[in-house]
Amino acid sequence: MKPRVLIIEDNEQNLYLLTFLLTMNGYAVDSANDGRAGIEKARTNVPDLILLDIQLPIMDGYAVARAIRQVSVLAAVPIIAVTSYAMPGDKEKALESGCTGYIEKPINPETFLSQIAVYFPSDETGR
Amino acid sequence: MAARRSRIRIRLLFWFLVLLLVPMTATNLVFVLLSWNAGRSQVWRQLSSVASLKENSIQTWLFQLSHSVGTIRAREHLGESGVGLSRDNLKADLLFENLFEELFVVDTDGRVVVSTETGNEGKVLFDKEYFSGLFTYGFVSPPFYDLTRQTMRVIAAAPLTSPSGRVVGSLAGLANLAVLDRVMAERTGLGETGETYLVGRNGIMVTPSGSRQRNEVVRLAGVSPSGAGVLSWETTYRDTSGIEMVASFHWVAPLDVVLVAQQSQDEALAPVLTILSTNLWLEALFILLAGATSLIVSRSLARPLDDFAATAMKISGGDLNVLAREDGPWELSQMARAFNAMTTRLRGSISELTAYKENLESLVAQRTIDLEAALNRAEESDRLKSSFLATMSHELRTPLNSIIGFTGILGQGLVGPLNDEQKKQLGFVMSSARHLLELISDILDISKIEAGELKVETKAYDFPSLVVRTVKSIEPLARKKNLGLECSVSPSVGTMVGDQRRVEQVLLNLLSNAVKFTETGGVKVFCGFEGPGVRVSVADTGPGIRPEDRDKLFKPFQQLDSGLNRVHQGTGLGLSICQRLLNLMGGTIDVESVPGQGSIFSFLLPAGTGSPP
Repeated sequence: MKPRVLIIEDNEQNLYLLTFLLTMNGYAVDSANDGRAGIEKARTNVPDLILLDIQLPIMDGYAVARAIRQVSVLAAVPIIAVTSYAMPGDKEKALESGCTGYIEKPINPETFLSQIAVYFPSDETGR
Repeated sequence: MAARRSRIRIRLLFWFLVLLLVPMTATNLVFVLLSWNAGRSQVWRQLSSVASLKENSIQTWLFQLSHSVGTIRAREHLGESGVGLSRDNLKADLLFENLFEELFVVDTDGRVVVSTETGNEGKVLFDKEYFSGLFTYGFVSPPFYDLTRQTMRVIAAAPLTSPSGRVVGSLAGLANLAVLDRVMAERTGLGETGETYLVGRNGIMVTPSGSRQRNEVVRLAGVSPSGAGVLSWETTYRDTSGIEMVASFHWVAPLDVVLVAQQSQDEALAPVLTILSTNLWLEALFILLAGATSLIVSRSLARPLDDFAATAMKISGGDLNVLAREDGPWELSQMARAFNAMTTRLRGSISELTAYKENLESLVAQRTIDLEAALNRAEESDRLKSSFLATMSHELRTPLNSIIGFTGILGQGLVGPLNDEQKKQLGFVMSSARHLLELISDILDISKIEAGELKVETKAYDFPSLVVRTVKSIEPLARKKNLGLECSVSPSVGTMVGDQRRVEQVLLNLLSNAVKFTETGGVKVFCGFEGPGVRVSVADTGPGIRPEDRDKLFKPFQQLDSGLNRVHQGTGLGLSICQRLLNLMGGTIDVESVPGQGSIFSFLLPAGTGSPP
């Protein structure tokens, strides 16, 4: 069974890039364009990993991470913040909000997969 | 203030009284002395004249006594030895003359031949010394104590002579002192306490006085005259009952007695005392009057001064609206006028100052408002700048994410195979995109540093492994250019405390610069202690830096025109960021260079610290 990744990202090109990269490498990808839709999707179909953009319409990534952590079935799901925020404290803020990891944009397609692989439970790493 | 205020009054009072009292008292003292002496002299003169009168009476009596004896002797034709003079004749004479108590005749042996007192005939009188005078004319004896009669008597005598002139006896008359008593008892001119009496040379009272009997022995100063020729003298003495006496003494030579006329001093000087006491009362009255007057005068003098002082106190207390009274004495009114003028000017100056102050305060307040507005604007623009930077960074990275991501996917051949030309061009796209990303990161870094938003960490890390890791990361680039790459870390350098990531950033920047600008030769890295800190040097064999370019090295956006202009890609921000990061960590950066031979960039990290406080 393919590992399932939920991408919450409002930029269409970036969403496409991530989806393409993950799909090509054997992941099952689901996506949402805003936080509320993302939370709903995660709740109905619990993923193995969530990639979360920080700058989102309606509610930002920090709020989304906090909301996901409130849902009991999603409490253990790793959340990776993928963001172009680079001001001091941004990373800490993301981790405080409940994120498990932090990847700065722009992503490097050559190293991105190995960056997220460490967050999967060991028995599901096989692509 | 009260003490000082009363002092001027007291001074005035004091001097006023001194000026009055001193001459008055001196005058009085002289007056008292003079009147006292004059009074006493007056008393003495009076006593002396009383004594003289009484002495005269005594002399008269004595003359009568001797005259009477002489008369009897002549009448009786007394012959030799008085023989034939009968007792009856003598008795008749006694009655006739009536001055004597007894008449008798003595012979030269002192034996009483015949006497009116029969019992005395045959007695010898010569045992009394002064009876030698019996045989001289006009003799009267001093008073003597008559043992027979137990009282004092005097004897007057006339000698009896033979026809040849030889003294054969004496006719003598014995008289009592009743006349003397009467004379002495006369008190005219002696007042209440005055008296006169006679005292013998041996201190025996001859006549009684108020408190003393006849025959009593008294001791009175000066009553036993030893000096010859002194007929009368005056003195004061304290008598036995303690009363001060004024006395006049007269020497009555025929009787060998002193006539004392005396009066108590109190009575004698009573008029003087009255005058003196009146005088004292008057003086006291004058002093009281003068004191009261001077009190009033001193008050009236001091009051304007007091008022003036009170006004000055009020003004010094801050009430500038009071004015000193200008209606006092000339000097004070001058002073008050000057003082009031001064106060008025002071008031003017103060209101000017107050106006200045208010003006200044309103200016300051206005400026403060302006400054606060400016500060708010500055803070607002600062905030806007920060959020602009954050937004710009995000907005720039988002498209770059797509560019780099899709270029990477294409380059990896995930979409499909590419020919060589496509791969080459895609490589240019990729390197341009990465350069753009570098620029964005550097601009963001320098903006953060300048805004003071970049904080450096202080954590322990292993320094040698940091150096090795960094050198290794640059190795592929060096190998591509066929450059040697050496690294030596002093074995004593171990763990450091600071911001590992920023140190790595600096070292990587210097290394990539060195590799970038060096075409032949190599790059060497040395690390070792310098003092308590660690110095990291990166030496290259590149073109070097001209001395005139050195100052430009660390300025943002300054790339050197070194003949190879724009051949080297770079943001021009690297060294500037390195310098600022090192400043934040408390370190320094240095450069040595020989143009055409190479450069050594080095930085010093302080011992064990990352960021300065």
